[in-house]
Amino acid sequence: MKTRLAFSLALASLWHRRRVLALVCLTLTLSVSLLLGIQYLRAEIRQSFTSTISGTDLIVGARSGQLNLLLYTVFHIGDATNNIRWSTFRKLQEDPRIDWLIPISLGDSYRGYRVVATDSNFPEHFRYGQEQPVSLAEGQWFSDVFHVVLGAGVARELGHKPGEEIILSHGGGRTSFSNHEDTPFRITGILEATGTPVDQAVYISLAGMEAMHVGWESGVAIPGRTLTPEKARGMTFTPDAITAAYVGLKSPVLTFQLQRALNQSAEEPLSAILPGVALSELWRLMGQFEKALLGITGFVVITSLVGLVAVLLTLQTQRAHEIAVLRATGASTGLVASLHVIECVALALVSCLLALAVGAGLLTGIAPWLLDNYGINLTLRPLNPTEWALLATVPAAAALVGLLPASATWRRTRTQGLGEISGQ
Amino acid sequence: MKRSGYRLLLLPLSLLAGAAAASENPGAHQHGHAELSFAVDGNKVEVMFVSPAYNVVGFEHEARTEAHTRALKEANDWFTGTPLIDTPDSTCTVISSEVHHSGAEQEQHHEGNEHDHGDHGGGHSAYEVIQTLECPGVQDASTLTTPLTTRLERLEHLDVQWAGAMAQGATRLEHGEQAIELGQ
Repeated sequence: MKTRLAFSLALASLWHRRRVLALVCLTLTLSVSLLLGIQYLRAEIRQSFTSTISGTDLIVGARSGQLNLLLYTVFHIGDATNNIRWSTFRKLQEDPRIDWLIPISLGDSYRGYRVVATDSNFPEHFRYGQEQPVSLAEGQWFSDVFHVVLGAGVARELGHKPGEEIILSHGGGRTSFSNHEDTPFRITGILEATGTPVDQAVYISLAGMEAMHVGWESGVAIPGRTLTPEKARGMTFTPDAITAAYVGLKSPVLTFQLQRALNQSAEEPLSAILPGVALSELWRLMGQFEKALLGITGFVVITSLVGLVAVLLTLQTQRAHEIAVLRATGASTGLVASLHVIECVALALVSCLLALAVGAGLLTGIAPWLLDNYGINLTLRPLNPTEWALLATVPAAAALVGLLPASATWRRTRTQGLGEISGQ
Repeated sequence: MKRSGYRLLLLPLSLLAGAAAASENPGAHQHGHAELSFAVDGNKVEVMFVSPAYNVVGFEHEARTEAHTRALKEANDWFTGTPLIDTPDSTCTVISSEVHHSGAEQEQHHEGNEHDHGDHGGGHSAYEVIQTLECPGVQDASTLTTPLTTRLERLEHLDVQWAGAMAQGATRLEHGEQAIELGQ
């Protein structure tokens, strides 16, 4: 009965002061949204980051550190220290432990975007996220030496459509003065957005990569020695070397065995890395940033709760009349004190609900925009246990905060001679 | 021009990425540190553990006393019969186990505990254990355990890598930490 009375009194009091408390609620809602939003984004970005490549058991490149190899093959950051011989790649193709291989040849660019030369195994076997294949949004995969497929980000930023012709540049960098003017490539397809570095690259065939470098020496085209597209189409091209290869094994049990064998290869110094392990290591290195971010958000919530205490204590002075009336009508000090706690928890709960609604609405609204403009793939999903726990700390903290004005009220009513009546 | 956020975040890391040891280089030898790799396929688990012998038996020279000989035998017996990876319900059994204890070698030495000896010629030996385990229920487990970090008193941290249908991952366990969370 007393509990019911306490709740009805608290709710009536809250409703009476709804305008002032709405502002407090708004502040708290924004803080909780920020806290929850950062935690949610942290989980999503981590998931997206560690799913940049999936289904690939090993990445094999020239001898290098695992992060270096991962960065230039998967994220297109930095440059390869060396290439691996084509003969080595051919030997890998004959290895009975290997199911499939995707050759990757890097080195050129298109207006700052990496050109990746590969073969038909790329669309067939490359996976990202939850084993999702790369698929075409428009057009088709390359079937000619001078066909090119654009990542979703490249097509969007540069406004290209299938059927257009583009000139690739020699070497990396956003501005290049050495262009493969004699061998224009025709866009045959545009990939679906993946939210991974795949969106930020341009894909051609290994033959295309070789053909456009015929007649080039020391990074310069020798006049009269370069090929025309018509001439190139009648020729067969075999690369001397490639940058790296993605490897799919027949059984994951062979992963460490083959990695060891490749890392100890006497024929050519190779590095074989586990992309999942390298991504974990990379995320661990970046983990300090996300912890700092979460810490800052925690402080924001603490500041909001301190603000809530300040507001409640200020309002308390204006509630002297209300408290006196309650006490005069027989309300115990405990009941009066509990009103403050209920008030704080109610405000916190409303703020949490509003924060959830704001977060879900915001995410639904901006997720497609983030994917289109920044290549960040966010999806609306139920909260995980950590996020629920984080959310639950807000009303729990509010209950503790409510104890401060509650104890102050309790002390004041007693010192004012409105102490407990015997028998109550 | 808007580009993927990853590139900006990862750029400084490309500078941190060091070169791995070439096949001709001797492997690093760091007391207190060891590596555990395992690959899962169905209920079958292939495990490889590599550690300086110091972490296992406390010395790296040849056995000179009976206590040394006993320690070597105990280590050998333990590696032969104990699964180095187990499910929370301890369902793993050893199908086969190969224990290699390399003799004193000229290796690059990194004293991991408190001081670095730098490069010098020193007699070192290492353990390499390869096990094949049968672990019913391993595919459904989100956490696995290893007895290495509690059994080996001198082991300060253990780098763990895994591969399998549950994807790939890595973690580092400190001494006394047994749980390997596969989700990280």
